[in-house]
Amino acid sequence: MNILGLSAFFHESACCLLRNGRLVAAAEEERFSRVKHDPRLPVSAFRYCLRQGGIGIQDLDAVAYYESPVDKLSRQLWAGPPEGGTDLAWLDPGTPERAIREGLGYEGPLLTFEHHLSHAASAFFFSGFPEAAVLTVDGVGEWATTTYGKAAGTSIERIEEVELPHSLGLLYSTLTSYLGFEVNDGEYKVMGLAPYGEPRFLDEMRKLVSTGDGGQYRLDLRYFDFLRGRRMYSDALPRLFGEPPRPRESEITRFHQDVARSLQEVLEEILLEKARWLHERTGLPDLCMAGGVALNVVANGRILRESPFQRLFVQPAAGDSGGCLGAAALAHAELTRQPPAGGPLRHVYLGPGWSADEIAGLLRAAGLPALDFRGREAELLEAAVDRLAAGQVVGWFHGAMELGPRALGARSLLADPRDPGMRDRLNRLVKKREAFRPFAPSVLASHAADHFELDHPSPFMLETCQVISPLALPAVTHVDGSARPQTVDPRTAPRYAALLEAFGRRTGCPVLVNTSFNVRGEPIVCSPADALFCMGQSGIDALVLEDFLIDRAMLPESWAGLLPAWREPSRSGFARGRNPVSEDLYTFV
Amino acid sequence: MTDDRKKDVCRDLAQRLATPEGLRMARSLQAADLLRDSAAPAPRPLPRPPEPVGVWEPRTVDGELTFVRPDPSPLGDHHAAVKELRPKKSELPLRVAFFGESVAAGYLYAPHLTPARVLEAQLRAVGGEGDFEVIDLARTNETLPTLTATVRASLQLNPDVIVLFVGNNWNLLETPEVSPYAPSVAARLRYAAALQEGTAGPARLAAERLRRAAETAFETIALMTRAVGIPVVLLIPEVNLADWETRQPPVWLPGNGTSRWHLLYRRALQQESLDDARSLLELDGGACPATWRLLSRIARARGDDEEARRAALAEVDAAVYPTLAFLSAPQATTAARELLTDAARRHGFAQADLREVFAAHTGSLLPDRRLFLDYCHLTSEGIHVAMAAAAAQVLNLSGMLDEDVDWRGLLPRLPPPAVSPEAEATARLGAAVHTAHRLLPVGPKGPILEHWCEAALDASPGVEAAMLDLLDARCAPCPAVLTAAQQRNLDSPYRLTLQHGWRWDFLDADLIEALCDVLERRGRPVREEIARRLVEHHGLHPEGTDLAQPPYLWEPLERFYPEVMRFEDLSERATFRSPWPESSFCLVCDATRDVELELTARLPTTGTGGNRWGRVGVAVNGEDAGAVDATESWTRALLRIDRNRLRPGLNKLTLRWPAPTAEGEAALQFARERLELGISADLHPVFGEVFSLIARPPAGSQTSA
Repeated sequence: MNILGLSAFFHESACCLLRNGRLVAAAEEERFSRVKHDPRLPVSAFRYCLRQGGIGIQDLDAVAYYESPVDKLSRQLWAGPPEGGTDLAWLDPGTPERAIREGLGYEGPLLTFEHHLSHAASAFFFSGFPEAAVLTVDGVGEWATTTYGKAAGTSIERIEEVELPHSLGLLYSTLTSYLGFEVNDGEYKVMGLAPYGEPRFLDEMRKLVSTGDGGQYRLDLRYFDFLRGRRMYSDALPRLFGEPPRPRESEITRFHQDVARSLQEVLEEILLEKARWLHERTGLPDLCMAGGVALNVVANGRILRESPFQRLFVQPAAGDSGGCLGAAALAHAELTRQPPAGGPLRHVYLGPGWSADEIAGLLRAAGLPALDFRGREAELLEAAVDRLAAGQVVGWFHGAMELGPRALGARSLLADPRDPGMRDRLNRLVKKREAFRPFAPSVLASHAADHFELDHPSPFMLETCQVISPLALPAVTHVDGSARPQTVDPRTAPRYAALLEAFGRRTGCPVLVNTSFNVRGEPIVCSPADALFCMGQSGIDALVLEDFLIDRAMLPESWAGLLPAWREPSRSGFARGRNPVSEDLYTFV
Repeated sequence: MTDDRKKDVCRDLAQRLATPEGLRMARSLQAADLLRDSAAPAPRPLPRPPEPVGVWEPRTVDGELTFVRPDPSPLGDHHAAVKELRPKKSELPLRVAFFGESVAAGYLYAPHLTPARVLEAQLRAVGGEGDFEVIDLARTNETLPTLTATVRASLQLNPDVIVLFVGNNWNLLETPEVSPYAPSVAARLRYAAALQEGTAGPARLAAERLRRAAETAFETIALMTRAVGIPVVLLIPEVNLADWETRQPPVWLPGNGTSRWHLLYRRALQQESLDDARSLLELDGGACPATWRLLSRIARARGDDEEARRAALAEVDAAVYPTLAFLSAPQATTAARELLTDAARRHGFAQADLREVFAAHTGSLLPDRRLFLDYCHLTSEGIHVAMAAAAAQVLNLSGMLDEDVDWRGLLPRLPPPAVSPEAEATARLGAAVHTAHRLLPVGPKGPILEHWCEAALDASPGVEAAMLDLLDARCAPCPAVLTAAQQRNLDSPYRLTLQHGWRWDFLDADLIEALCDVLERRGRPVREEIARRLVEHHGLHPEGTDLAQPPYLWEPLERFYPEVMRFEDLSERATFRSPWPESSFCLVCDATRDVELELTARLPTTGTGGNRWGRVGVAVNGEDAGAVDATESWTRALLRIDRNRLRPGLNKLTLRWPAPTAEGEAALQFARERLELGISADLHPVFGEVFSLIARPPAGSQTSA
């Protein structure tokens, strides 16, 4: 039984493949197309999943789509056309199926599942829990924005839902926009900003959102304009806070920090309250979560610590890209009457990988005098540790690419967490992102409890906890003393675990800064060529590319100017309305 | 209405829109303009001076208003490499502002040689060293709205004369919405309405839109220039008629006309038969450029240059709004030339018609590679002559000469363009590269590529190093910019930039073959080494190499536009669809063992409910190598290619599809119905569709010595 799960057409389209209930491949389209949050039909991810599964298009038994286009359309009709939108393409709910049939060429059965059901399934069926309460929270699916359920075996029963316009996801996105960050991209920046502030706007926040009975809560719509407006908030919102919206890239002040902190506190309050209510309703010890808001790791940590639930599983690709996992699992359950096989999701190394020999060919063509450690892994690790211990930032490219927004040791940038200047250096030279944002640590699972207040594995970096390390770890410790660790298990990430081990042996610190291998505005790297592009355009000191090691001094000096010129996105002649004609198109006329 | 009631109504509406009838109703309302957004977009105020002049931003430098452009990227950009522009302050030199498209920007020569610099040198040679200057505001990809804006902004520079050299881009670039593939639903609905008149309807719609756009642009320019008393010179472009060919398949033809057309076309190509070509013309009604090119070739072979010219001009006109939506090569059509002539007459612009100028200069009715590098871009001689025509007009308008001059009289007095042998060679090599990428010829492509490679070596033998770098980069398993070849080329006097097709991720088979042939002829043995490198990086992967993936398409442009290249605003397809009865792929192997092919393909559906069956022929390097079955559903078929049919390195693997069986009227009706629903549609047949074409060494195969 081969089932392909697919999510697309809003943001971060993705595909996954279940073979006889086992998840064998999954990837977001953005990694291949190099367009961040690419919402288009995931053509490359689709082809990758089939290739990885060793099957052809005619071998698929079903394609499972992650939301109901008709129900979504009914909600869009209710909300009314977006202001300024005249094309009305959205009136056609047949678009996704047509794209799948014609764009992918798929001929077989197509099953469609509701958006939040896909989220719920993506969490429950990969949690390994025999039964669990399920909480999904995002901006909006079809109508639902938050759902509460109970799952066991192949069934997921919905207990209650909150419908648009009331949405915790859109509340967070609205404030994200007000604070000058991009919606659907900058929410985690707001979360990172929050610990710098004081919660002095709680009263104002509680005017924006009020909790209700059971699982309900309400937004005061006088402050919002996301249904039809060109922006997320109405004029009443800046009046409420007494400050105009922050222009993009402008200075971040105390005010912005305090708004972020107040928002985070209110979100946590409501989520905690609803989690307690859900526990009361289900009486179950385990909770599964998905949906974009489930990527709020600070809230997740509090739910785990302060709610009655004993275990929490957050699906690592909790946003819309991970919806494809749930849709595929639901299709499997529907067609086989069995839940997906494979037990709990132990890792998300589900994307493409490259052999050392393929990389050797690339390096030859590039003329890079890379150090070749083929067959000498221990020496490679020591060489990497030499550089990390010397304060260098090391790009780490190994094995299959991760699914989801977190780099987990397959496409990571690594550094010494003890270096007090490392955070600034990473932000300034490599990540080129806002200085306030914290970096996350990776730690050997066996040493995690020595450094973090953590009594269980956290392989996906999806919760925060306090740093209790005897070592000073300034590069990964947030202003409030918290961190967002990844615990690394040698059974699932042997080479990465061995690196942590080697770094620990050398320095006494089995912890590394682990941040995603990309620069600002770009998706995480996928291929070895992407890794070279990223290194060439940033301040990465060294790159471990499978069995090869490349030091910055080996790179041609001209790359810094050349590579950005090469990677300008191409737009077709049709894009004239948005962009002067095809500036980057190679059809020169 | 209560909110709950409204939600129920919306749910019901959504269900209705999910049916063809419901969607058709909505699209009809939209087409009738009854679903218009009530909120009209807010009017945008005109920019207040100082405003940017193209990419030159206003700054204050040393207390003076100065327009400063950003540094060009190391791989080049589309604007003149002049850092600063300042408003003119003294009477002399007289300032000419020069505008236009890539031809005017000196495409393939820039920044070493540009028409603006040539014009300036010519004006100074005749009018006096300090009496003229030319401000180069030409840019690649220029269109009418930005041209108008740049002309307006350029008035801040106080020019004395304006020269406009435009018209080649007046095709799909000016009217991108007139395409069955346009992303906008509203555009598709308009296209469907135009199709009511038949397949000529959209071409008429596009022509009408272009006419309005051009008239508006020239009226605006005339108003502005008249207000400040600046004369305008129009250069009316000529195009390469002899050497540029446009092969496009016809749209669905009535009855079984499509199958007949392709049968006839194949025969006509082999036999160059005038009767067959005329039959093709009868079948396609003159709408297919490939037919006109055949006629032109046949006429030329008979020595009838007048007829060859007429057919070539008809070819250019037929290619302008391709229903297939290939972005055909930009060439000024008859309509574009008429619009320019009309603008000159209506607004009192001076004009120079390069058709007349070039014909008089060469004595030929068929402009060719002597003056053109490709479809419309000029050689250094072409630039020299074209600018002489412009210079004559400018000099006559300047009042600085005692009597009017004619370009013919002027030409012997003008200095030849100052272009180094290295720049000349690089432009010619660029012509080979660009032609390899853009030319879909009716005849063979190799000879013209080899001509430009030879010409490049003739201009400067040192360009051989750039050719070797280019070969190296094309063989590499990564984007060219990452290669060592790029580094070498960057440091050489033969720098290849974006305009020379450096950013190209396809294997570039035709170019590789042409370069190898030419270098071998010149005594440089490269073929074996290139084959070795190709095999090293693109040889068969043990698990199989999918030849249906873009890098391996032999002729990338044969993939339907818009999927031919990767664009951020358009989704790709996961499959390859062949618009011709044959489609070819690059198979790279060492030829020491057999190759197993696994083809997953299907034939286009007839819509009759049956499951059509057909045989797909497979050829290797032009020789039949077997056939496999295909149906309307995806079918996986295996075929073993004997190693004796293969050669080390590049092999051309061709699939030969059965003829389509659909009736043309029904197919076009189907397309129109889709467009009426706001769905993109093919107006031409798809012969076969490939999901994957995996080539691998057979399990347990032995390598022969």
